Amino acid sequence: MEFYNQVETINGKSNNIGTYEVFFGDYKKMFDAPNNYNNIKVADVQNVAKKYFAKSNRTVGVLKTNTEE
Amino acid sequence: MKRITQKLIVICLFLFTFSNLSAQGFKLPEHTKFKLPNGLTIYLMEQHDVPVISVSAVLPAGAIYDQEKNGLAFLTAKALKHGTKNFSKSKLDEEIDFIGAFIGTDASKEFASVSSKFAAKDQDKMLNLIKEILLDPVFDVAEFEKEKSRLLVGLEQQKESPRAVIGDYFDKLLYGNHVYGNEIQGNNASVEKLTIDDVKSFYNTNYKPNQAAISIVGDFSTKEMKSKLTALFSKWKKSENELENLATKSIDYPAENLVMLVNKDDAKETTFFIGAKGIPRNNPDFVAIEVINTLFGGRFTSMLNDELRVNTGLTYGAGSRFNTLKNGGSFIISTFTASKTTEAAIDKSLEVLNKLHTNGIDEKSLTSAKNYVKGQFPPRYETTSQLANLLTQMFWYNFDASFIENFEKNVDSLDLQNANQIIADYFPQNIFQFVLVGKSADIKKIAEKYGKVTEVNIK
Repeated sequence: MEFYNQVETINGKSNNIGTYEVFFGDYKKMFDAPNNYNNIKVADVQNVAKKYFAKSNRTVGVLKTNTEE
Repeated sequence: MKRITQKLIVICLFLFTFSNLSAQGFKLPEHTKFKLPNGLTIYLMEQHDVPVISVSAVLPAGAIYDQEKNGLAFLTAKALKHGTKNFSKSKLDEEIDFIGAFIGTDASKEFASVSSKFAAKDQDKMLNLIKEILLDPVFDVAEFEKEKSRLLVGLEQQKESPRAVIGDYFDKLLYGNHVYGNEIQGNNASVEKLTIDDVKSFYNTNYKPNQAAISIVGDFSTKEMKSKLTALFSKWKKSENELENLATKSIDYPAENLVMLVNKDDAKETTFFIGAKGIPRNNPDFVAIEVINTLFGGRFTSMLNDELRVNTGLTYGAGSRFNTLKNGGSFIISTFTASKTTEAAIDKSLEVLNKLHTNGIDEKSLTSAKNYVKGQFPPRYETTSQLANLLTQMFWYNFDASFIENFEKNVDSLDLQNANQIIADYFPQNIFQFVLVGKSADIKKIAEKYGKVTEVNIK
């Protein structure tokens, strides 16, 4: 639905066409997007999670009260 | 050779005329309108660009029907999603969420609305859920109490933000006892008293098909959709007697300058509205007024923002707008400034408005505003949700396709003489209502300069 929402406007259409052309090499691939989303399996998500949500990829920020003041 | 050239000329001429024709103005896409025997008005518009469907429904169930129970219309609209005959609240939320769909319920000043968007393939499931929400809500008491305490906390939080409450104060000041003065979300005292029985009785009185409309726009076949909706919504019982619409009573706009001073003890700045009587939505000069207001206070480079932000640095932003309702409306200049520059900012705002009246506008700025308004127009009616909303707005405010189809003409035909007439007719000149939210101790003297002051503490 998010993809559909985007391509409802001329702004979203041009943005997506450009994005697919630049990042995926061909604007025509945009038309396969709904199908590609449909084909994603649980295992695919797990693989991506394993690859990217690794400790070495982690950045941690800590918010702390300044107690000295 | 000569013949070929002739042919080319003919083709060129043809193309020229054709492209000219297609550039001639906007057209409201074709749609069907029909009424069920129970009085429900239905609009269907096919749009096959993207496989989605948007729904917009309006019902005579806004804050103007609250009677003494301010906030009731709002809570009732929210409570529609607290579960239905066949779906508990969590089941309902899950069903909608799982397919990436959306259903929202809300109440505004005049009407309650249900809006929804989903993938075309999910239409049967979603149309059924919309029907459940509208026709078969069960009003779970535990969920109601949660919603009510959330609303009370929300109202409490709004006191922190002058901008969140100033509109309610202004509407009270301008509309007085007329129902257009009703606060949409109510106030602490009124909401505290609301019960689940109030909600049920409000629902039973106001959620009826005969003064309501549903519009559906998107990727479907009109013929199929028509029979689906007829099957789903024909069981909806119409009300026995016509709902009394208190909003049609005449509005007593104040005849003198009034100032509502809203004290916020910890304020370092003053947030203010300067306003007056405006126009109802179906005013025939609606478009022309929009053009002039764009110039005066609508866009970033407007006269107001130029003077108060750019030239004097009194504020971060200043603007004006016409808030239009069915039977009336308001005009508002709004901005905010540091407590100590309160007087300078109010005087400057009035000065810019006065300049609009005395100097009028020139050809160059009128052209620029016209271009701006035309350029902004098409993306406002682009998506299925925008079109669905447009159709229910047309129903509620009683305007037709000519708003879209004559839009360019109405903008283009506005010449300097008309423009200056519009200014004289619709932009206030003598009587203003002021709401100042700020630290009373610092600005009370200033407030008294502009009219009779009523002082209250931020609610």
